[in-house]
Amino acid sequence: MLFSSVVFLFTFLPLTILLYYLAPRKARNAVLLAASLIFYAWGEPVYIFLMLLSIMFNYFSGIDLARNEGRKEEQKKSLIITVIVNLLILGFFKYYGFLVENMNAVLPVQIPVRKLELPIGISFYTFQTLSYIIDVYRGKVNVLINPIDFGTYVTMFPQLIAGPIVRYADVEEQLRKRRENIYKFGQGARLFIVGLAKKVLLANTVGAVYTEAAAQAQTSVLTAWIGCIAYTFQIYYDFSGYSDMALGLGKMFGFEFLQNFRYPYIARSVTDFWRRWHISLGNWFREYVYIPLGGNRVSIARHIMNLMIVWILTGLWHGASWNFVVWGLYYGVILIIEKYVTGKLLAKLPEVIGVLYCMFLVMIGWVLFAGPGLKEAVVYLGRMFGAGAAGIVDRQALYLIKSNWLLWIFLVAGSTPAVHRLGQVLLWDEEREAVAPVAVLYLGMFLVSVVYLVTESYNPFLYFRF
Amino acid sequence: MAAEKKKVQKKIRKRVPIRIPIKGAQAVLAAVFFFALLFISAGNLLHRDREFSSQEKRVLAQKPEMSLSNIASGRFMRQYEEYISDQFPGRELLLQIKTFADSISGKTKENGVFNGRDDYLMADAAAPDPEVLDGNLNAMAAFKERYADVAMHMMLVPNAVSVLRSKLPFFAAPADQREMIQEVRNRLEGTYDWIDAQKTMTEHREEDIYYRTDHHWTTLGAYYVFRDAREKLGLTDMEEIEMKPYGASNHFTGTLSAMSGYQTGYKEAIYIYLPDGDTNVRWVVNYVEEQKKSASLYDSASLTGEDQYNVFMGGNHALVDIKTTRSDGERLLVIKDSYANCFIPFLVPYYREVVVVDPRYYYGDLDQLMIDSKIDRVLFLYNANSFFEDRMLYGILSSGEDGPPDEGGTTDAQDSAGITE
Repeated sequence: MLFSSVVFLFTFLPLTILLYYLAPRKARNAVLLAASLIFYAWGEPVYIFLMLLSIMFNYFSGIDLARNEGRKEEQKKSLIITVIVNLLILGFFKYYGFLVENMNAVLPVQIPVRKLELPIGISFYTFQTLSYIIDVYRGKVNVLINPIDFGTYVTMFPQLIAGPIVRYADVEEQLRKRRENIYKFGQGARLFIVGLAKKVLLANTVGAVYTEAAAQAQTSVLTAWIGCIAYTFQIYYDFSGYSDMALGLGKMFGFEFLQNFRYPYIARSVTDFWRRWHISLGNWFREYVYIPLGGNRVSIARHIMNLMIVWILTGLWHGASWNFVVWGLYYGVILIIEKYVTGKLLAKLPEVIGVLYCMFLVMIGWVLFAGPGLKEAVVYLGRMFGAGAAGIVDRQALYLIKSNWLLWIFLVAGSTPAVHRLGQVLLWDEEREAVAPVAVLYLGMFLVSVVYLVTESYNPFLYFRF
Repeated sequence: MAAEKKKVQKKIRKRVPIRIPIKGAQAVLAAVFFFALLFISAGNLLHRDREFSSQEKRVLAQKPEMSLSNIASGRFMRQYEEYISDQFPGRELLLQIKTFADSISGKTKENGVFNGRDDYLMADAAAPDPEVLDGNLNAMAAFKERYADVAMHMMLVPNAVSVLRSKLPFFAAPADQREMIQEVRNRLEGTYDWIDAQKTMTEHREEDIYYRTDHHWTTLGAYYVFRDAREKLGLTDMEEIEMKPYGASNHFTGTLSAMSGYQTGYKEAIYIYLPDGDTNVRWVVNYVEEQKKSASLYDSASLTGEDQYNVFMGGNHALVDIKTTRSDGERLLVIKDSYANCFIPFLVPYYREVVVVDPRYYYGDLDQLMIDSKIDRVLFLYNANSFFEDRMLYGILSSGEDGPPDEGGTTDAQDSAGITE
């Protein structure tokens, strides 16, 4: 089920809220678990069994790790097996087809390719359970004895299908005792509405612009750039909107998740960008891959290798296809250059130059990311720089600019803290808030989003593939 | 500096006076959101389900059946989602709100419909799937080859978007339909006789040859094209039968308006043409599948119905057989889409028999029909958009090629058209 769907908003969510708050405190995790399982089963009912299996396996692995406390060898063995099994499940569903295709291409074999439907959210929940298992092994967190609490952690519907990737350590306390109250619920509602509007009003609308620009057989240079800019905005509003909704829903049920985006498009360098984009994924890779590899406390050669490993994996995590690998490599190379060559220079440059530099590289990156394949991406990049383009400007380009002018303004303004600051000046400060206009504003945003949702048949979700 | 900032803030605060502590505001927001959810959900629940949307002109999804197998396969969920959004209260109003909000943002196109100048709504030019189009054209050529001595004409009527270019919104750049039509013409060169509707329509583009709220051409447009086509159809040797227009409606609102949500408020006239003066040709229109006969090509009951364009022959039918009292004319087969519905009345008085087939509904054997009805002449009449999106023509034209088709031959043929995807 998607948050931005009529069924979620007007059947699932009100029922879940009612049941959750009517239930006694002790039963609330059970309500959440049941709701999350229904939420998960809604799209592809069969995979609910995979999910339950995964929960049980990791639950018992955790207990096994705790049982062997003090016996490092035993624990290590147990950890390795658990990690491998989890990665095999993920690998089988996500990378099997890709692997076989490439083996067939390179080796003299013909293994039949079976395209499996990707279980929703498997990349996210696998990483979450891994964080639990590894942290139990490291002794950073206590083992969870209550299976309902564990199931709630893995399946929690607000972040189940598109993150943020919540590390167990961050919610350990909250799973057992957390405070729900009306203030937090209000904050959550606000975040949720903002996220919904980002997704429905901005991401979907600009997504249509991208589709239109990308569908042309021939485009001018300008149209190609408009398409690229449109995709850049679409993926940001889509994903950050979803994260906002997740954070908001979490708050409604008393949870506090960590921020997943911090205005990535005002970053002054690519290094800065990755501290602001999909923060929970970056943290995960740092915590469980980069630092165990030795991080930067190693020789330069080794450090470069560590970075490349992390970025190839980051690329692959986003999808089983070569363009994602190249996309990861691309960032690995840029980050190494920034680390060892251009970093100091970038810090001295005026902020505007830094932002432009970073956005240029990020946008090129999104073309690689958007695919659908490497070849298409290269052709598209060619058009952006004049190769194979039909002129510099055409009517199509002007039409796309003119017939979406207000949208472009919202898109740009919304990527910066400007909108929030405007709110601070006009409507609220640290202690007090102009309640009537704020309520009208948020209710209006919610209703307009619903209008667009009901009327817009175009409602695909980009991060589903991952 | 800081003091100044505080001053400004104080000033603004005065203008928006009701500021309350932040916790109170959060509680208010919580209540507003929760009750908005409950209110709309309750509206959804209590709202009586409708079967049909007259605005969208389609049957709406109904509450799906809940069964274990339905749920296990995920079918129930998909159907339930469709059901909930189809039955959402006030959908039509919401569409208008959305269209309005979009036009504030500068949008001039909704759901593939341009909001043009002078109240013209125009469907965007459809781009053909090259392989399907190729299959259709090959099938047409092969069909002609099987009936070498039967004259065959192709009439591909351009859509408003390509003829009324000056009515398009600013900067709008639809695909070039003229180019696509020219390609079809080149492909059929030598086998089919081309009736150049594009030329005629372009010559009359200042007149009301297209409806403003509907995707069809007007009867006037059809009339001009017919006049120019007479010679090609071999009708100039026969005595001309004068036709006179009569107003049938003055408050027609077409499908483009419903599709896009643009409410131009333009009320259109529909004209029908009847023979003027003393022609003694009469005819019987036989709607074969419906087993209905009529002496008129017009269906006045449709004028009070959902789609007034159905006044022409009562809409689309698989097979219509029109026999006239003439003993001297030919027997004509028209293979067509809905553009033909207002064109056929111009043809009928000149023929002994006119057989009309709409491949989108026809399941019979076309070759059998050619022989049984002793067809002398075939006219393909399509508007460009529907021809370029057509996936049925290939099947129906090839059904007789390799022996008789099995049961449900058209479905098979449809599938084989699908293979080309």
